[in-house]
Amino acid sequence: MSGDAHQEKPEEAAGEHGDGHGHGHSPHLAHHFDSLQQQFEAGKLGMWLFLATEVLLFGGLFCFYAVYKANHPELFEWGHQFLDKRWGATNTMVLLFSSLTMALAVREAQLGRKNRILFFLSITFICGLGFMGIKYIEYSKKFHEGLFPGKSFSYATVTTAETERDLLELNVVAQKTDISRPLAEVVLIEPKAKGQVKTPAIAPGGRAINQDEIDVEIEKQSGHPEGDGLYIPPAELPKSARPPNAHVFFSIYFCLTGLHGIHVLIGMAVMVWLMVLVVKGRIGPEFFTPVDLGGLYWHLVDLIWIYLFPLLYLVE
Amino acid sequence: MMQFLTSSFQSLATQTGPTFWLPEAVSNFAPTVDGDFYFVYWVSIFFLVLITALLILFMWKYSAPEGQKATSQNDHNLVLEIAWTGIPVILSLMMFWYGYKGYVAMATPPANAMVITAEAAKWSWNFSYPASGTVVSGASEDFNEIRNALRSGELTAEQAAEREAKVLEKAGLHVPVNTPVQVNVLAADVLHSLFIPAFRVKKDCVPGRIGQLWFEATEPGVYSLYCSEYCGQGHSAMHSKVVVHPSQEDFDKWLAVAASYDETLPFTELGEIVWKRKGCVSCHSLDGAMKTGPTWKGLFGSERKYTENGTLGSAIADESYIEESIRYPMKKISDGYTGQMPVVKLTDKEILWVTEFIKSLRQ
Amino acid sequence: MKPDDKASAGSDLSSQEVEQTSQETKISGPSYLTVTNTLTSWMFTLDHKRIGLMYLVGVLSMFLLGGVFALLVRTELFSPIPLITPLFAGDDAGAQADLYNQWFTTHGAIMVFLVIIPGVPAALGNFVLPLLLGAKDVAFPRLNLGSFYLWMCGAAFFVYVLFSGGVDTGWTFYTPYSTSSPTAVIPAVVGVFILGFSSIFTGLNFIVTIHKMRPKGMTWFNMPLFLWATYSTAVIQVLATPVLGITLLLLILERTLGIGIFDPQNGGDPVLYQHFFWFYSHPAVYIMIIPAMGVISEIIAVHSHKRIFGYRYIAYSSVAIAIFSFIVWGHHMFTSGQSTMMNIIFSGITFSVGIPSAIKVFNWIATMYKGSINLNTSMLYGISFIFLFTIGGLTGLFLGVLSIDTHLHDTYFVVAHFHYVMMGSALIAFVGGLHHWWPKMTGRMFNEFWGRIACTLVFIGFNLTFIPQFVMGSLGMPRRYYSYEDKFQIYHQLSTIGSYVMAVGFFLTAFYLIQSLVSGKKAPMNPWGGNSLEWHTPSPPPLENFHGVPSATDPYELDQFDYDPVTGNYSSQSSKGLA
Ligand code: HEA
Ligand code: HEA
Ligand code: HEC
Ligand code: CUA
Ligand SMILES: [Cu+2]
Repeated sequence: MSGDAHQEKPEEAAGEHGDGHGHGHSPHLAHHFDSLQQQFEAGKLGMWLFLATEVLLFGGLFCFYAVYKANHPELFEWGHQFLDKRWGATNTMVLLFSSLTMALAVREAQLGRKNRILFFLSITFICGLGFMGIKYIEYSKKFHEGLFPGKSFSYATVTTAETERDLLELNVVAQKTDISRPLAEVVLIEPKAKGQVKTPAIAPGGRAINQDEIDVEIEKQSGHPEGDGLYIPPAELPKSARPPNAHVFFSIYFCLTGLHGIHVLIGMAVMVWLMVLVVKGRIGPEFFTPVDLGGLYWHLVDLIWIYLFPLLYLVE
Repeated sequence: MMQFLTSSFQSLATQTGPTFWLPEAVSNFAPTVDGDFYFVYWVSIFFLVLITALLILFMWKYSAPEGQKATSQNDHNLVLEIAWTGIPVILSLMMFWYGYKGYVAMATPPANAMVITAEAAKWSWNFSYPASGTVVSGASEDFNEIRNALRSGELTAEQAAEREAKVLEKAGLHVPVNTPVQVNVLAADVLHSLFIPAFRVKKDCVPGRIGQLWFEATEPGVYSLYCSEYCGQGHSAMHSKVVVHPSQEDFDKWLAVAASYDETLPFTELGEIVWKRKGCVSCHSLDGAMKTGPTWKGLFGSERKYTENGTLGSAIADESYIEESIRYPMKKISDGYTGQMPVVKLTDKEILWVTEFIKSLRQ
Repeated sequence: MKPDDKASAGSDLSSQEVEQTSQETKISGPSYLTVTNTLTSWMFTLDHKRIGLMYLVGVLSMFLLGGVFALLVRTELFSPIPLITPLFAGDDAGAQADLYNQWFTTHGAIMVFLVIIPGVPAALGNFVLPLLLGAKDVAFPRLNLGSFYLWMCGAAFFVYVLFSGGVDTGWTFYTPYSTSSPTAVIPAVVGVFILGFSSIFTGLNFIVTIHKMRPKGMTWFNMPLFLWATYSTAVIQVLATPVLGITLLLLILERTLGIGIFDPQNGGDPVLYQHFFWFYSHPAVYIMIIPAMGVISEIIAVHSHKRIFGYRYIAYSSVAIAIFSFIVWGHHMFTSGQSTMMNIIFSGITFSVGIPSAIKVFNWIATMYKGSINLNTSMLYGISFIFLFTIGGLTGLFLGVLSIDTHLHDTYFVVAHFHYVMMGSALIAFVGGLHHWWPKMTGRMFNEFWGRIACTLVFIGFNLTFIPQFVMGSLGMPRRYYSYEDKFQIYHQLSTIGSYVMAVGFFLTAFYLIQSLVSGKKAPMNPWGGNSLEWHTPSPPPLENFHGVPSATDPYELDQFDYDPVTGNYSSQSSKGLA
């Protein structure tokens, strides 16, 4: 998709089909253009238009997002808890950085420094790879937990973990407290901050239990958290109750990030193609349109992610 | 009752009968809508005649053989441009304004309106009168049958009107005359749309939403009601009738009759009535023909293969199997069908009667 | 119809040689049709003219296919009882109704997505646009070929759908029916999706071409109006089609995965689907009509031999229509349950489209005033267009009025409205343009006598088909009905008869056009006396479009030509220098 808009020139320039010859022009000039300048401008305008269609493609999805956010905010409140902000933020940084290297590649292309173009292109490529790697980790975690888009959404199996946790908790609490004493009462204390140990106050007729204590005990008793199947550590269960149609959030999440991911992959393919061009020596100060346009495309992909990240990961 | 219905079939198209362009105008909105219609209509006729006349005139006057030069090369005239921009602007503002006024009236039902619910499902209507808890069906199937019988000459026009009147005693959308009525529209499966041409009202039935329309019928009689949003196979068969009763008392009388089953009848006959009234008829045949659902002929006592939660199973269709099929249609899906059967709320008695009826169709 | 049928295979001139020969022999060099003639030279051609021709063959074949389905629909509706569906579907009443539903769906979808959207822009536009610009090609020839193959691919999906049980959702694919219908919805939707991208790339190509490849001396207000029209259209294609793309993608996902965006059973909202569908499909109706209006501007001016009246108003109104078209989509949903406020706003804006349309209509008529009108086939189509578009447009006003649309929505009145604008206007303009440029494309003249007869038949048949539909529609006949109340039968019968008359007209057209390829008179360079650049190059044009570099002319300076009755050519002193 992305390649189309700017694939013309270099190959045509190579004269693979013969109808573009014999004008004594630059070898990069396709037969139907009058000057390199015109050709470059046409390519650039074409690319901008193409980017406009891309923006609208995503724009449609963002509209769906907005509509659902407005009508069912609870879906987003519940769903976003499953998205790991740290991974999201890392990916944002990765892409931002890759945009920088891409911009540098374009600059080097204008200057015609072959090795440096290659260097920056490969860094960009590796960033893309890294991005996809992280996405892979995130996706597989979701799939593992049954957070699929649509009908196959099976977080229900995980709800048993939720009840399982309740059971275990009751169990532990019962063990920890001396229920033989009259008026035994249990006070759960949530640790305020990590590492902070607070001497629990004793409730009248009972004893106070630190939440950590219970968690540790539960982990011991259930033999989890690592390992088999769909078990999710209770601590990672969402705090609020699952709203009806929770899967719609993940539908939107997977559609948006999936479509974006496809664009990243295409961008990486473009990168490879650009590197081939560079190696073949087709790129130079007088002809760098492909790198320029590839760069534009990559920036757009980047930009879209900049919108996706807060909209999906940081909603509250 | 019966006389009113029969006579109203015959006396249709009296004072407010259909014109060349528009159907009979028998609701409070009809005069406004028709007025708007004719406003746009005459504006259009004016422009169409003007344009056609000019075209013909120019074709006739300026037609010339190849090679002849035009007598003028004039290519602009500001006054003309302003005129043919300005006049349409004014006219279209007027159109918008009339339409807006008419529509706002349609969109805001008065608070004292009588409420009826129309539920659309593939491919039948059910009208419920919350005030009395009565549900009557649209009886699309009956009307189709009568229509076909009329076409094939099995029935004369009079007989057909009589049969329709008979059906309408227990079916159709009934309203009293000169009373504001609000209809809430629902859909069970896909989009449908409630359309009553004679009242100039229409509303889409959207699953998951409750839509509403309202009207005040101004003339007693029987009028057509269609489903106007495409809904698949039975879309064009999904029609019914609206009956406007001449008075509130007449309407109340009808409602009392419609609400009741004649419980002196044998169960099998009552079951047949349920089959028709509750819309089973649109999917289940009695003669072995395959429709959306399995035929009831020979159903009882036969072995049924089904899927339940993705696993296959089989059972003999006995009383409890049938009861379950009706109460929880999505539980066991019979082989060869998809889970298209809606949940139709039947009373215990009705289920009993239907079961007896199905039993009676045993081979 | 492709010329390679009759050409001797293997005249394998390399293009370099061609260029030399063409430079030597000037006027009499080989045309783009004869320059090379192997199968691959067509399949992999980057020449916009050949691509245009291939589109043309494709679009006309699809028109035939869509027309056959229309005739099936009409024949079935001749009677309210099953008439011809039993022949195909047997005695089962359900299957008969299903079949009818597939017919009108296939008819609508083919006509819209495969015929009329690519019709004028991709088929005629591809051929004419660079010629009008005096350019050698569109900006991205390879992308252009890609668009064509995308179109082919989309068409292939539709053909596949036909053979795999059809699709019965209506061309609008409304959910939740489209997510639950057992028919081949997914292939059809994929087909439309692909066609969407074909359309986007064509639009993109045209915008860039018009922006960057105008010849020296051609300012924006010096362009033929057809270019303004294609430009405005291209903007819509580029900006609206992606939204359709994403909507269809989600529809596919809804059907396969049940993602719960459109299907109420999974928590979705069917009305949302309608919003997104019409956000594209309303502008899409202007994708159909604006280029058609461009064609009409050319036809009316050239065949009246008179400077177009109100050039700037026509140009601006194309742009205005394109802009307004984006904000009126809600008028298709007045009864769907969207809020009253939205209805009112959409209704108000809807009328804004009427004004620029009115401006065009009156300017065309004023162009004819004191002209020298040749009532030849193209002009007859042009005049038919004005008449039919007026009816189609004015009935659009009925539908824009809230109170009236409540009554008319989803009745045959709407069906008649959009046939007047799509078939009566857009398609008639396409056929008119086809005749107008036929000599340029093929180098052959068609038979005028039969042309006029066929045009008259189409005109009469068309009106006979669709005027009764207005009447029955406003009387309350809902659309997409397989069977109907007896009181509507008379209208349906008239309509069916009309459609046969129209079909005879079109078959006649196909016949004499094909005949002209075989034995038509050779076309002169300028058979109608036009002055836009395509008339300044031989018919058919050489591969590079022009011998030498053309410079801009005033496209509407039409009274400088003298007609030569022997050659049938218009020529003038001042234009000679260009050749
Ligand atoms: C080529 C395609 C095309 C074109 C050009 C138009 C043009 C217009 N259309 Fe149409 N329309 C369709 C194709 C098109 N339409 C289709 C396909 C559908 C149905 C889809 C479906 O449901 O399947 C539809 C449906 C449709 C509806 C929805 C109906 C419904 O479903 O309930 C509406 C409602 O407003 C509408 C309005 C208009 C208007 C106001 C114009 C205007 O642009 C018309 C402007 C033209 C004029 C006004 C005539 C010229 C002017 C004069 C002669 C001067 C006098 C003018 C004034 C006084 C203002 N159209
Ligand atoms: C451009 C669009 C277009 C065109 C041209 C047509 C053309 C025709 N249409 Fe169609 N129609 C639609 C778009 C179009 N239609 C759409 C979008 C729908 C809605 C579908 C839906 O509800 O989902 C519809 C629905 C529709 C219906 C309503 C069905 C229903 O609601 O139940 C009817 C009924 O009469 C109908 C009839 C016709 C007829 C008789 C023609 C005739 O004009 C056809 C005549 C053509 C021929 C007979 C073919 C001849 C061709 C050749 C011989 C090829 C060679 C030609 C040349 C060289 C010029 N159409
Ligand atoms: C929209 C169509 C539709 C309507 C209306 C409908 N059904 Fe069904 N019915 C089906 C389908 C489809 C099946 C088979 C799938 C299944 O078992 O759920 C079915 C199955 C059944 C069965 C079980 C038969 C078997 O073979 O398993 C019974 C009993 C039944 N319906 C009774 C009724 C009754 C009573 C009504 C009316 C009150 C009714 N149905 C209305 C579509 C319908
Ligand atoms: Cu129900 Cu159409
Ligand atoms: Cu529209």
